[in-house]
Amino acid sequence: MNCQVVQNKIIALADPRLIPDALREHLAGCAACRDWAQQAARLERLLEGLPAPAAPADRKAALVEQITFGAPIITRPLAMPAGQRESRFAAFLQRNAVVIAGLAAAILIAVGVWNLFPRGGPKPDLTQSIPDDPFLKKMVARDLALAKADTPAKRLVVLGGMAEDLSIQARSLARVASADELRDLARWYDKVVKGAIVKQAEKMHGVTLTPAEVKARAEMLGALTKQLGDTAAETDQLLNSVPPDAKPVLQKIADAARDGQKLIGVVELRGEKDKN
Amino acid sequence: MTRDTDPLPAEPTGSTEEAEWILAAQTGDRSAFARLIERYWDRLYRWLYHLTRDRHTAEDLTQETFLKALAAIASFRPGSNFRAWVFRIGHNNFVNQKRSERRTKHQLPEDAASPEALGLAESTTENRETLEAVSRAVDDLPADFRAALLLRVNQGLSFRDVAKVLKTTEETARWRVFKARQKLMKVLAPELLPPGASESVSG
Repeated sequence: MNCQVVQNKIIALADPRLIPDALREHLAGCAACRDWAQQAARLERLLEGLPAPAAPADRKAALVEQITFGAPIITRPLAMPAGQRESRFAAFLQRNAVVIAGLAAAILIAVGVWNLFPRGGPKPDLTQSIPDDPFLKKMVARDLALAKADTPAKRLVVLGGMAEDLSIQARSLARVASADELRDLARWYDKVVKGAIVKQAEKMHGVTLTPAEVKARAEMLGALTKQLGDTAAETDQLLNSVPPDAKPVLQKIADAARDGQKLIGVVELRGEKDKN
Repeated sequence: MTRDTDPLPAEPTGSTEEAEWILAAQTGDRSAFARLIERYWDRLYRWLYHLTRDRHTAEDLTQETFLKALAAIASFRPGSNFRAWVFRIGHNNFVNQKRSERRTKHQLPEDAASPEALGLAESTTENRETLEAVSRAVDDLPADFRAALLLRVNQGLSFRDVAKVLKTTEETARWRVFKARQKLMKVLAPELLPPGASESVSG
């Protein structure tokens, strides 16, 4: 073996410090290749110790907290009811079922509870299904924003948007989607509103605030309450024009919105009492 | 170059403990996924830092990678290498981020981190200078070579897993690591000469 070949073989090894016997024989009689091997070994060691700034522990801690106390909702892809395959909405439903199956499988919402759905079931390739659906994309973006939000106020902004997205999606699909699919949306809506939003609203009262912050908080909670009221009213209006099996599901969304409204009201009252 | 003997055993697919965490995470156990984050956060962050050369971008990408991994955890195939899987998601993020950066022509490379920030304060001056030179030389490598080299050397992934992370063939992964080492050997020749005493090559 000539030296060039030997030297190339050394740096092609998984670890140039571990020289196989075949090459070692050559090294025994060749000072140039021995030097090369030593330098390659030194390079390897230096690369292992390559400096990098310390990893940000606070970001990690925040994410771990977010994930531990939040809940990505992972559930089975939903089957399409057989009877509807022949309906005139079949093509639309088919498309929709795919969208919602992806959604059901992959949606990630931090809502303060975990393990909401049945375990097991097929495991679709989510990395493939996520980017294709605009609603899912939006939800993943909201979830990223949620993870980055570091105060209850910021979280409330994101969660409010999330609740709005979910209720709009449910209302726009109410006439065509299956009851199962709608039920999942309603369940997520319920969790986002009554779990996460109310919880974050409570946290806002746990800190001492300046008068300006108190005002900002009141405005924010007021806006959220109004949004929930609007959702309840708009959903109520739809009740008479949707298929019978979608009706109780929409009813649930309207109820969750009203419950959320009430709970935020209670939180605000409690905050007032604490102040006095 | 040839496919010579690979003296390192293939990267283990993770401990039994880790396999249990993954399984639990797949059935919805958030705290199990949190343990996986604890285990891989620093490693992923360091690798992404060397790819992006920017602390903040690396932080964002690390966080995003774990959120995406959580969203997709159900699709992870038990028994395969979890670290390679997470790094692959991280690499996708990095590539997408670079693409969008190019689109917006908005490149803001961070000023070189200070030796203190890099954790070099403890090193001896000589070592420190050498490490800085190595760091610069690594930064100058083409991104693909840098990514492959550090996965192999810094992260200890097998060539097979390096290939998986970078979505390429094992042969290409080997070639990139080889070319990266070749270039570094050339650029760093003066730094690599041992000062007086020579280093021993174990076998």
